[in-house]
Amino acid sequence: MSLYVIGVGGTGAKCLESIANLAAIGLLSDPDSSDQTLNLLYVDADETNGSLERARSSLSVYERCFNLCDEQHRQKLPWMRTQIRSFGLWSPFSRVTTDKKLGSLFGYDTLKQNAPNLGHLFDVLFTKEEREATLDVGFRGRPAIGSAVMSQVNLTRLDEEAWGQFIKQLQTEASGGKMPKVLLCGSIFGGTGASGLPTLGRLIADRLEGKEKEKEIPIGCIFLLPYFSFTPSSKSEDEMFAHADQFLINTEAALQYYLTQANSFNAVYLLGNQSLSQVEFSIGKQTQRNQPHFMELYAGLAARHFLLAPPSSEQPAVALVSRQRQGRITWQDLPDYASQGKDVRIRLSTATRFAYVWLANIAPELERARTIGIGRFQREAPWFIQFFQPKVSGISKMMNLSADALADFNDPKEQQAIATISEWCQDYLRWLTDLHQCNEETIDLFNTEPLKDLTGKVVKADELAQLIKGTQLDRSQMSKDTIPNLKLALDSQAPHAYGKGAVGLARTLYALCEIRT
Amino acid sequence: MNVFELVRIIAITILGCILMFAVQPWLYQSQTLFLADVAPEAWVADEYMPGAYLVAAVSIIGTLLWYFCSSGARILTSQDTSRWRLFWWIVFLMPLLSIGGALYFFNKSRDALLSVAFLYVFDIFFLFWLPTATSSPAPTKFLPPGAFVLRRLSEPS
Repeated sequence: MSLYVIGVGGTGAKCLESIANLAAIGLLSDPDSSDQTLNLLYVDADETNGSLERARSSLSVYERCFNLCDEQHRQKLPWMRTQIRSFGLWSPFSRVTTDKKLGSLFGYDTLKQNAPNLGHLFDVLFTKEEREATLDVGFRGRPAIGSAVMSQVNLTRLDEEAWGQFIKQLQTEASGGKMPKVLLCGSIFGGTGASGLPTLGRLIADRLEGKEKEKEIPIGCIFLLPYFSFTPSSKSEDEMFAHADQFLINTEAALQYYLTQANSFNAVYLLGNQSLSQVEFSIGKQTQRNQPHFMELYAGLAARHFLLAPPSSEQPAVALVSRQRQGRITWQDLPDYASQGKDVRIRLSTATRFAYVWLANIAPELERARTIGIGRFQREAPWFIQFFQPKVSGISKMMNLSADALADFNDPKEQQAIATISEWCQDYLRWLTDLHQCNEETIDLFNTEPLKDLTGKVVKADELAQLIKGTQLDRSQMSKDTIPNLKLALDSQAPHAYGKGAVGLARTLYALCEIRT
Repeated sequence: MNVFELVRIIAITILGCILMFAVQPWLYQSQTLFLADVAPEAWVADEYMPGAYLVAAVSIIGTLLWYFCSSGARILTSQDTSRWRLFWWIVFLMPLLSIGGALYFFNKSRDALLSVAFLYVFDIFFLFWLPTATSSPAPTKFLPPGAFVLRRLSEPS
């Protein structure tokens, strides 16, 4: 079963970043399905939005890492099991040849001349400021502007663009009996998300009305309620921008609308937080780069719930999630903690431990191997020859002890694979540590101090056992949970169980990092 | 600690002791290695055996010292492992010095000097080098000289 996710606006992009990271560690894969494909589409008027750029960069790293793994070994581990297909970015201004201003889009000057009544109506609905503001930085926190722009969108005329490919792929899967699911995500209190989510949801539902199988495609939506705020800078006084003090009012209005007008969705997830995180003010473009927030982790887990939940022909049940203590997030506060064998905790913990060990120890070791040469390194790191061809000479060569089936460490492809895996680990840990940097909340999932700036850092042997907060390991288990013991286990693995070379090493290490308590 | 490694050390040590205390004395007693300046039986009993006990004891102690120290080593990186190579060579000095001691303090025969020196050197390769080269605990298992080839020959890939 495949999932099609559309991230609308900056918050939508951050949700897609979270969803991609959860997919990377196997949390968005259906164990009953051999087809594990996640299809992503970004929608934003602000094509250079910082959050969007970061999400796309993160996805690019994932794709390169995913392509390293061969199909034969892929299904053995949750890591890199899900294929992610990106349909890129679609902007509602993709076909606009005029200025990206509301007035230009609706031909305001012509309206005023040729249909003055319509022109006056336009003046009633939109101020001069709203009419003349450039919208390439987004809809400036004005859902009314966004809705007007989105209403001009005709999905049937976008066949050659990202939307066209997206819909075509969806329809092909539906007619092939695969039953894909569609999920939209974004904020309900901003500009792009608030205007785009109901409009695009309706447009997609209308487009899929035609055939029987397409009508059955479930469409869900994740609405992020206000969870951050900002203080405008004094320099922005002359510009039009989103006002954080209006977020709650906007939300109330949007929720009223969804209750009465927007019924395209089979499942709706509402996520919000009482404390609002302070972010840096930005009107848009690269500077609008809000760091990941734990609400987006919840959005990713909502996507997981939507993917794995059985389809319901009756009125959808209401799913609730809450936490035990205000101001604190623990493992028990994550969805399905009790009911699904702590799958979320296990997968997140395994990935974090793997990324930590890889960056803190394995990658520097492989760099040392490159520096001092394989001949010397293989004697100091016995695990090395389980994955890479040893250097043989003299008697070894005469006895033909070289292992041709293993990868050549000095092959540029292997070096590139090592760099790609390191890049993924850095990106994943960056996302995870950013999630924990919430001044208004205490996130008690991981101890993030050891995870910061791992390049060149001298790590302590006992840090690994202390990474996961609230661990249930006893003292004896904790004393054995060390990097040296992991490397001993690497040395004694069955050869080629998870592949060879850098990828085999990474996958074997990933399997060994799993901790089930 | 690996049981198989300990068993291997014990087995090789027993073999080495048989060589040292049964086969080698026989070589002198049967005149295969001829001694003109001393009576072989008396020389073996009074000079060879004490020296052999010294060399064997120091070699076995050296082997066990290396094994248990490297087993308990907190090795985080390959650089930590490489420092243990120096330790192996330092421990190797012990049996080497014991040969000097055995020859100086216990051997009075000039005829036997060269042959017994050679045999003692062979013995410490058997009682120290071979156990450490085949049975060192990971991650130091490839550190002793020749261990890389020896272990790959003896262990299935």
